This record gives sequence, structure tokens and C-alpha cells, in this order.
Amino acid sequence: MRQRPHLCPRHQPLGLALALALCVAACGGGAGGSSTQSASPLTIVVNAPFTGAPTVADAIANGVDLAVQARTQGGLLTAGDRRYRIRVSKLDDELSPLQALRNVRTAIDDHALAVVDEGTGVDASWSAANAAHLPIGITYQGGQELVDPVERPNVFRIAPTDRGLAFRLGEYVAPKHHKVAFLVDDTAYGTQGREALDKAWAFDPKQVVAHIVLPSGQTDLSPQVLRAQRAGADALIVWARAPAIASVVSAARSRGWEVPVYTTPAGADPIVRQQLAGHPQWVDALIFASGRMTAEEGPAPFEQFQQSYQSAFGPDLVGVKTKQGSAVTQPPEFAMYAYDMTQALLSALQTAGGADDRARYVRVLGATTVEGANGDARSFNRRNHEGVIDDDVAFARFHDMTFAPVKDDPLSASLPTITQTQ
Amino acid sequence: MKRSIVALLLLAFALGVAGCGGGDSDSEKQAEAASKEAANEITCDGTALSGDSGLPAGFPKPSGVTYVKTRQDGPTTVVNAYYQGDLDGAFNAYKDAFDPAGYDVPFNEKEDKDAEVSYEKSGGTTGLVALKAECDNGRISVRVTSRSD
Repeated sequence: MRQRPHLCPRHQPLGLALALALCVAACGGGAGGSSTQSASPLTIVVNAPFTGAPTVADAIANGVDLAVQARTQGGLLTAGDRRYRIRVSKLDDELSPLQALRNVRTAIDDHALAVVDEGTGVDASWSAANAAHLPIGITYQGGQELVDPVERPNVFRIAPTDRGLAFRLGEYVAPKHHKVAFLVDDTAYGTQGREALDKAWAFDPKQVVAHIVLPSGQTDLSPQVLRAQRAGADALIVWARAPAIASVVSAARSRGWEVPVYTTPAGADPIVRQQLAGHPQWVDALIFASGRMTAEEGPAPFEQFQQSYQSAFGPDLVGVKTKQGSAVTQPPEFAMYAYDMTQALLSALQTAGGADDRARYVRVLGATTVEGANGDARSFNRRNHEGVIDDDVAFARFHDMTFAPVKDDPLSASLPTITQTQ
Repeated sequence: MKRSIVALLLLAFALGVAGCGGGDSDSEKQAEAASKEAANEITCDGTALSGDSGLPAGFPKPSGVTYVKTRQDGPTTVVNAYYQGDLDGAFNAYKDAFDPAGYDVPFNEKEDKDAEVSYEKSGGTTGLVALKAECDNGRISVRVTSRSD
């Protein structure tokens, strides 16, 4: 029987958690040399694009914060005969691999417990981190090469993989459309996506009538969309950061081209809807692939997590409204992955009996299983450092600024719609 | 005269609606059930597949498993089957079968009414065996996906 240690009654609003933390700190001070004072500081670094992709970065940081609140007593955690004060440090990678590497070096210098990472720059940073026995837990990017249990024993991931997204897109799109155009941006995210799409469509490469690169920062993507149209595409698969997805949709619809647009989890980023808020109908029928938010056992665990998240941080407002005037909120999918990763990090810390032996800590993390916030098991072992399996990728379609699982995919059709309005 | 015709037409319409309503209720229920079954791809019975399943050569097929349907969804082979026995039996049968067949099992999970066994083989073949205890005939629904790079 699986336990749910993280969704305990401690899962209270942020105010209560802060009050508890202050109380514990005050009590410790009053006791003069008590166990609280002897708690060693231990930092979890969040390495994410707080300026480049703030909705993604904030979701990751909130997920980490919430897990620390849930698993510790006001930030204090006992592991073996040691007590630790768990801190969360947020470092902006600015979507730059070089800055991401600098941040990881800072984490190494600070003897951080682990880095919870959006994924940017991991190709550059994993080696230095591995030498310092510093685990990196990716919770957004899905590039296949980023995670390799043998070559990169310190890198773990809880997020849909690019391979899973691409194959599931192939399963869903290929039977419907026979002339697809791939539009990928020139970031690492897009480049890795292009590789995954090519592999997934290797079963029939002739279906792909155009490979088009979307230059970062270019707001008018009409020339690229026009190329796809002239190539005869009857569906677009866009693998890009949110602003580029919005620009592609805008370019297609403003030409009156009602071509189906399929995309990745970035399609659900609030920025897409914010950019298209002037033409809400353009968002309709945009379909994106992402990890299933609810597990086989039903929606209750995820809804409980969502409630805890909103109690702690308030709802993540998308910044748009439905036709009825309801404010649209963003379900905490990527916060959930960061939450689960942090649960695994802290669970491994306790199993390892502390953080003194970092090499042992990484090995223990590599054999850790926790129950995720949605009830799914997140399990690492010597052959597997991935927390989301390919078959757990589902599809959702936008309508009236909110999204719901599609009905023409077996997995998606079995999933409930998550509440997204206030 | 006109009133009589209108009354008859109204009566006929009312009866028709009532009749259709009753029929639709049953058919709607059937359709809903079928849709639910299709959505979850539950397989509790069916004739054994006569041709190739589409799964890789040497893919483990534990004793008690009957393949019923196969299809190609783009790059992925999907096989629907059932297992004669209970969930524990199906779960253990698949877990035990992969290693001798040369596959790794990076992830497996068993819950009260369902279980999953993921598999991979060097060369890029991966997939999942999803087991669901939703049959009332002593069988377990089996759904196998297979993806190759």
C-alpha cells in the first residue's frame, strides 16, 4: 500500500507555514543552544529562467517551496542524527546555458543539496555537478540526451520527455493528417524537439512536407507560416517557446488559414493566451501534448495538490477571461513535477541518513521511489532516471481560453477536465 | 377539419418523440458504455488474433495472454489483449517475462485495480504493458504499446 506522506495535514496555507516556521525559530532561540540552533543549513537551488520564461520558473520554484513546507517542520528536517534547515535559493538562468552553468557552480560552492532545474544548460553543467556529487533534477525540458543514468548518474527528470511527446504526437496526428510541417524555434528546447520529431516520424518521413526554424525574438512569423502553407501542410506541429507558438497561431489565423496547430506543453503557457487575448477564437482548437495531470486512481490527489498550491501561493492567473467573464487560472502541472522532484530529494536525504556523504546521497537518490502529488509513483533506479513515462502523455484542446482533454485519444478521453476558472 | 389534422399531427409527433426518446435512452447508454470502453481500451474478450501482432520478434507473451486486436497509430504499435487470471498473475507474468527475453524493465507499478510494466531494449524499442482489472469474467485487460526509434 502506498503512503502519501507529503499530503499530510501540514499542507496548510503559506501564512500558517510561515507562522509555524517563525514559532519554531523563536522556540529554538529561546532554548539557547537547542536542536534548532544546531540545525545545519542545506540549500536546494532552483535554476530556472525567472526573467526569460517567468511562468515556467515561478511554477518550478513554487513547487519546490511547497514540497519543503510539506515535508519539513517549518523548514527543519531530521536525517539520521543530523538536523537540517532546508532553504530554497532561486537563481535566474536567463535562458542562457552559460548563466545556468554559473548558477550550478554557485550551488557547488555553497554545498547545496541539489539543483532543481528547468533544463537549460544541463549539457554544460552536469559534469561539474557530477564531480561534486550534486544531483540535478530537471522538471521542464525533455531533451532525450539530457538524462542518461549511465553517462550522467547525477541527472534525474520528472517531466514529459521529448521522445514521449513526439511519439505521442505521431500517434495522434499521423492518422489524421498526412502533410505536416514542423516549426521549431532555434533554442535548445526547439532543437531537441526537432530531433525527437524526426525520430518519431521516421516511420513515414514523407508525411513531413516542411522543416521550418523560427528565429527567437522574431514577433512576425508570417514568412515561416507562409512557407508551411505553400509546402502543402494540412497540420502544423510547433515545438517552440510560448511567444513563438502564439506568433505562429496569429500568423496562420490572420491569413484566414484554419490549419490545425499541435504543440507541446509550452502551448499551455499563459503567455500564449495573453498574446492572443485580442482574438480569443484563435486560441480555440489549439491542441497541446503534455503529461497527464491526474493518475489512474482519479483526480482527487491532484485536486488536493491544486488546493494546497492555491492556498499557499494563490491561483496562478493566466491574465485572460472566459466569455462569461470568469478569470482563467493555470493548473499547477509543472509545479507538481518540481514538487515531486523535491519530495524525492528530501526522501533520499533521509534514507541516506544525512548529507555528509554526497556520493552516497546521489546513489540513494538513484534508487528512490516517492508517490507523486497526483498519486503516480515517481521512481528512479539504476536503469531509469525518468519520472514520467511516455505513455502518460495526453492531449488537450483549448476552448474559450481553457483546455480540456481531447475525446479522440484513448488516454486523454479517460481523463477529467481540471478546474481552470475562479 | 384543419384542427383534427393538426391534432393528429401533434399526437403523432408526440408519440414519435416519446418513442425515439425511449430508444435513444438505451442506445445512448450503450453508446456511452462503448465510448467509455473505447476510451479506456478495455479488452475482456474477443477472438484470438490470427495474424502478426506487429510487436517485435521475441516480444514476451506470457501464458494466458490472448491478443485480440492490433493497430498502427503512426509510429506506434498498439495491441489489445486479455489475460486469463487475476491482476497479480498478469503483473508478475509480464515482469518475469521481460528479462529472459532481453528487455529491461525501468519502471513498474501495481495498484488496486491496475498495473503498469514499462520495458525497453537496446536499440531504441520501448513501450508499456498496461493492465486493468475491469473485467467481470475472470480476465485482465491488457494493452501493449511498442515504439521504436
